[in-house]
Parts: sequence; C-alpha cells; structure tokens
Amino acid sequence: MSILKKLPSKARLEQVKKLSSEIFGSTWNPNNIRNGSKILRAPLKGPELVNYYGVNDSMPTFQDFKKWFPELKLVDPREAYRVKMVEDRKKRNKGAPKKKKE
Amino acid sequence: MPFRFPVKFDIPKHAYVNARVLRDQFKRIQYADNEVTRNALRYLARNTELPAKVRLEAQLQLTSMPKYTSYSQIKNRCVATGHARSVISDFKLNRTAFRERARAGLIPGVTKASW
Repeated sequence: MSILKKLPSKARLEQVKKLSSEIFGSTWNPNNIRNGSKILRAPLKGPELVNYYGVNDSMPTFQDFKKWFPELKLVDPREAYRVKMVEDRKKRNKGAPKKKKE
Repeated sequence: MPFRFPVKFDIPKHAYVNARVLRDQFKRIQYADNEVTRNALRYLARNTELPAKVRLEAQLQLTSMPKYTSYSQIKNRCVATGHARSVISDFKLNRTAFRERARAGLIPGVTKASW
C-alpha cells in the first residue's frame, strides 16, 4: 500500500537529519558531545541585570527639578525634616563626631 | 572624597541606596561589560572538542578575571530598603517592604487573601 517498500537504512536517516540541520541552521551534534554551543546560543543577561535598580533617565527626581528651576526655591519636605533633626541632635551634643584632621 | 570603586559608574537614582546596593550595582555593570569576554572564555573552556591545552588556558584566564565580573557575585536586593534577604523577585521588594506596600494598596493587583 505504502510508497516505501521498506524503511530507509539508519545511515540514510542520519544523512537526512544532518541535511535538515544544515538547511535550518541548527547544530548537528548526533553524539551529544559537550561543545559549549549552549553558552553561545543563550541571550546576554547583562542589559537586563544593569537595570535592576531602575533606569536613571526614566524619570526626573526632586533633585533634578531643584537644579532646573533654582528660582522656584523648591524644598523637599523629607530632606528638610532630616536636616532639622540633625540640627536638633547637634544642639543636644548628640551629633555625629567630627572628622579626624590629618 | 575619592570614588571607592575601580571604575566610575552612575549611582542609581530611583532606588534606596546604601553601600551594599552600590557594590551590587557596580558588580552588575562590570558583569554586563565583561559578559561577552566571559562567554567566549567559557565557551572555549567548556568545549570538549577543543584540545585540552586550549581549554585549560581559557579556564585559567577566566579565573584570573576580577571576581566582580562574575555572575555569581550579583545578588538581588530590595529596591526599597536594600535588604538582601527574603526579596520577592516579582516585586523586587523585601517581605516587610512588600507587606507594608501591599497593605497600603500601593501594589496594583495585590490584595490580602480572604474567604
């Protein structure tokens, strides 16, 4: 019934697989030898890793606005509070120690 | 004050920054810069079809690269607190930072389970 009288030999089938991998650009590695091609095939991880802590240019920060519009005299309330607390601590002699002079 | 890293880089603006976060960011940048070199050496060292001498030489060169260019040195830290432990990678947040934000309704799509 079928067109094939008998199955092609094993060597012949291997030849077909080799040809197909050549045509479709995949690596021909019948014995599963460790040739390190998976290292070259993998996409680079670096660009994604670098952006883990956010992209600096993605949006401006409060500091940027202060620099761009000095005439507005913008004050960051959180920073002002921190500075006030530092001053208060200094008044009670609880501030950070003086830097050592050379 | 001198810059305390071998190579200058931009300090992250949109994340909590402390010395450990800075160190991690430095390693990330160094890894990205050296990734192609490392991969080439890794390929040479891992390819069993190459002569043993070449593979050994590649492995030695790989180990002689600075440690901060290695992928295994990178650790995902909390973006909000800088903590390195129990960081939920989907949100890049430490468990406490995540809980606070989730309870305050600041994370879209996250609600406390109740049934």
